[in-house]
Amino acid sequence: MYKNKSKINTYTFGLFLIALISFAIYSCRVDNTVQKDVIRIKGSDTMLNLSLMWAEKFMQENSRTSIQVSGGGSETGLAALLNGSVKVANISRSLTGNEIQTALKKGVEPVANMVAEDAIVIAVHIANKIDSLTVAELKKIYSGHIKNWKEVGGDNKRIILYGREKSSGTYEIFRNSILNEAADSSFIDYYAGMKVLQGTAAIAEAVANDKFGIGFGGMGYFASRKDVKVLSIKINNITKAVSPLKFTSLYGHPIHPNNYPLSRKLYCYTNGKPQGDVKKFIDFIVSSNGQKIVEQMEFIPLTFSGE
Amino acid sequence: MLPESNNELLKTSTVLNKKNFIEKSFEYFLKINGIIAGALILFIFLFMINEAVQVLNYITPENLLYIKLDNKSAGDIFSFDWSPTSNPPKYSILPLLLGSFLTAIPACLISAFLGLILGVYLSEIASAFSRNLIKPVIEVFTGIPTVVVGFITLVVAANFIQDVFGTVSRLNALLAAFGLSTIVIPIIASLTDDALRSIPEDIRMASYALGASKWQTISTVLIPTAINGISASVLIGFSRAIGETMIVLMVSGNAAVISVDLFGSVRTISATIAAELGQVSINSQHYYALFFIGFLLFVFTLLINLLAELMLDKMKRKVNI
Amino acid sequence: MEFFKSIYSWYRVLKDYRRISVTNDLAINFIRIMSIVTITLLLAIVGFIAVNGMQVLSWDFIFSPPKNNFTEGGIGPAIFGTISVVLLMIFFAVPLGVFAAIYINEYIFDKWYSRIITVSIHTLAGVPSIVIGLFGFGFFVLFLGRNLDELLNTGLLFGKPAMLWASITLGILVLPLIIFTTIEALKSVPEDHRNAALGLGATKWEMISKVVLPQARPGILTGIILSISKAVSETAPVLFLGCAFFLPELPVTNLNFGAFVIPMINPSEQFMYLSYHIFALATQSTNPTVTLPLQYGTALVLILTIVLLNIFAILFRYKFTKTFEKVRGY
Repeated sequence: MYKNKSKINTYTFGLFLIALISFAIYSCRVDNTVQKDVIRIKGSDTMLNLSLMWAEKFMQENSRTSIQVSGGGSETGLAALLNGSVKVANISRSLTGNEIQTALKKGVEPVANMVAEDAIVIAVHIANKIDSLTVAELKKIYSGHIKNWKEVGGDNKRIILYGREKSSGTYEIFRNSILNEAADSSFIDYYAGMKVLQGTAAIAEAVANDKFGIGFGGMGYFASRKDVKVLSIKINNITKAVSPLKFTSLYGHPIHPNNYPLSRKLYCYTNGKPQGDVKKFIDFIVSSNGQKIVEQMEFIPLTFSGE
Repeated sequence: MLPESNNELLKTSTVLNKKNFIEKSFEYFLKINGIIAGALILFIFLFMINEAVQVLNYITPENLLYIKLDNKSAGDIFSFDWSPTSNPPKYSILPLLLGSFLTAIPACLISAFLGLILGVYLSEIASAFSRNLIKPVIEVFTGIPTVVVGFITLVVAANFIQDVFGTVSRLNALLAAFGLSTIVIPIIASLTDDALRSIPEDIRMASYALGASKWQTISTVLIPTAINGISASVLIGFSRAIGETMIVLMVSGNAAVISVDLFGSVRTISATIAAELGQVSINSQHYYALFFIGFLLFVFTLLINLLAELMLDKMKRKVNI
Repeated sequence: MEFFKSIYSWYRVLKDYRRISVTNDLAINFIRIMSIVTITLLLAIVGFIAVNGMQVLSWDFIFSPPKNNFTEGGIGPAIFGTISVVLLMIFFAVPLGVFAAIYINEYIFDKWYSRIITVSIHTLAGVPSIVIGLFGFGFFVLFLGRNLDELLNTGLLFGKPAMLWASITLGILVLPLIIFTTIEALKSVPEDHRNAALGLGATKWEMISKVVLPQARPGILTGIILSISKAVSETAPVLFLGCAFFLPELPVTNLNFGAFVIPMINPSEQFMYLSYHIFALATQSTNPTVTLPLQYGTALVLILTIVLLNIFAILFRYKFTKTFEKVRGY
């Protein structure tokens, strides 16, 4: 009996040891201790994949530089820039005066480097009859005043609204530029019956599955999908409907609030003017090679027709 | 063997002293661990209540239920919305409470029905072989990752349920209830099985000897005897359903509306915390409001669990006599 | 007349018997069928994941990091993160849990406050994981972390969501499980052994450490395995405690010992977590339809982990009871 039990102990100890050793070997495998110049980037989740692609291409050309990208949100990126733990912060909006004040107090001078633009698109199921909506209609739909597709020329079916979480930047932009586009009236909020999903991808997925759904989100999540339809938007009844998809071309039309109301600029913030390796990286981003990646990832490239 | 000299006696006594010292220090060490483990729940409670009451510095109690908005054309409107980033921010907990109950109660009803049947089957009807096969499966299912259940519900069950019930919204409370049942059924089944098996064999034998059939024994003897244990299992299942996060976060649609429509989207307390805590600015009113609803959930599940504990106690005493 | 009466009463008895036996058969068969349907439905979920997940499952999938915008590659970093968090969690929770259980079962089992401690640990087991996560975020990250940073002047080292806090929070979550399985294991050690050890002149601590604990070890291990399985399957508490959608670097740091460089888990970093990875892929990756096979694969890996851990635990428990049957001589 005693022998039997000591065997159990040996087994468990052995198993534990094997687990530990294999774990150690595994962690060694990924470790590289070659000295490199490291640029750490942190910030917006929207820009995470884009930055990863930039970093990958940039490191192919400059093998001496290593670029580490992580997400966590624009706020996280800003905090890290203020702490000095990163050299570049990805931020998917421009900083507010308050934030710049706090930064200056800490001895950090945030400099905005515009790197790309992003359009927020409105998408419906591919079988939906609607092709375009005016801003006024969108406003009524998302504030709950239009509840049926037939009021905007579709089938006699209830509209199912999909939207993002309150913490997302997309939520803010949509609310400011569609729901509250007329600044004088009182504050209008989303209809409480809007379904709130945890990511833009979830919205795309929901709209693709829901015949009478409508959703909004960053263009990258919708443009490449075959099972959703991206709506064109009319500023008012007189102007032509504009589809956001035509902005993706590198030499296409510049996006502007006058022709498409839902756009935002993406920035890489640095502490002071970019220098050295960081400058090289930023220069690479705004070069035509960098902007091709922007196009590839379904964001809107900076147009070269002189801002 | 007696010590031969004083010197040796002294040595023994130092050894004993040393042993005594080690003994005492270990006991203190263990005591500290025991006290930490025992007091942890109290500490969590105090911390949560401390954070939760600070919400009153920002929001008046009635604004936690409704907010009065003046409207130029239509007079006052009472708004029952949970919309913390709106202007003015709205912190009505009513839609969240409704949402939590609208997912947990149907889930609990489905699971109580199927879980009880499964528990009775395991304890009374199944052969030893199938019992030994099924019981471990059930136990594994009580620990199945809820995110996997949520994922499957979202990907597979959502379209299925929409086709079967013809619901307008694809993500709805009923779907969440079905997802929740997946984890609550095994809990109820396992606990019911435990409760039934704690009944002494004599009682079954007495019932059979009086000529009762198996079903009569189950329905008139065993279930009434174990009723406290069975109720406790349903209560524990309910508290698990109301505290569950990932499933409801993924499939309930998260629309904070006041409605009792089982086929509409709802937003539960747990999903609200999970979705909003990540990016909330610290020590803001929104932050404390989230702690407040978290505290509500905490107290609610605490009370249910204590009630279940009491019932189990009662059951134990009943069976032991 | 009497004859007919007796015939009638016999008829009544038979009819009654028939009614009872029909009801009995109906009810029992209904229970049997419903149970089998329920079990089949539950197993169908796992089967469905297994069938769909098998297509992507390979060593490469398990070890490689996500590639090409999450449409290719595997879940290596997520597995690494999960193992790291669980190792740290064991480090925090197991000693506390085991020692507390020893204290409860060996020192104060007959005291009035032992009941209070047991009930409070029971209640802790019933607290929803999201509330534990909320507590972890509020207490560890914001209160403890921020104050530590101020005290030690370390910038933002402790006061941010990190692996350290996530593992401690998960530790709180699994503590009741560890304590109860340990108490169970200690209870099953025969009282005679304790008395024999004390009779031979052992002190209480000697008795516990040399006689009781070695015998209870398989039972305690069962508890640890179950707690690992519970920690791996939880998502809600780590959501805001440092779980990241994607990290290009593993959370490791190099410890320099002169000539040696030892890579070690860095508990102050963020991490990827297996269960969170499914959630993120399903809701946040660029195109969930394209990544669907990867989601199934990840779900399968997660479920396989849970099932294997549970089988381990069952085997341990089985061996444990076997050992005791031998000890007791029946």
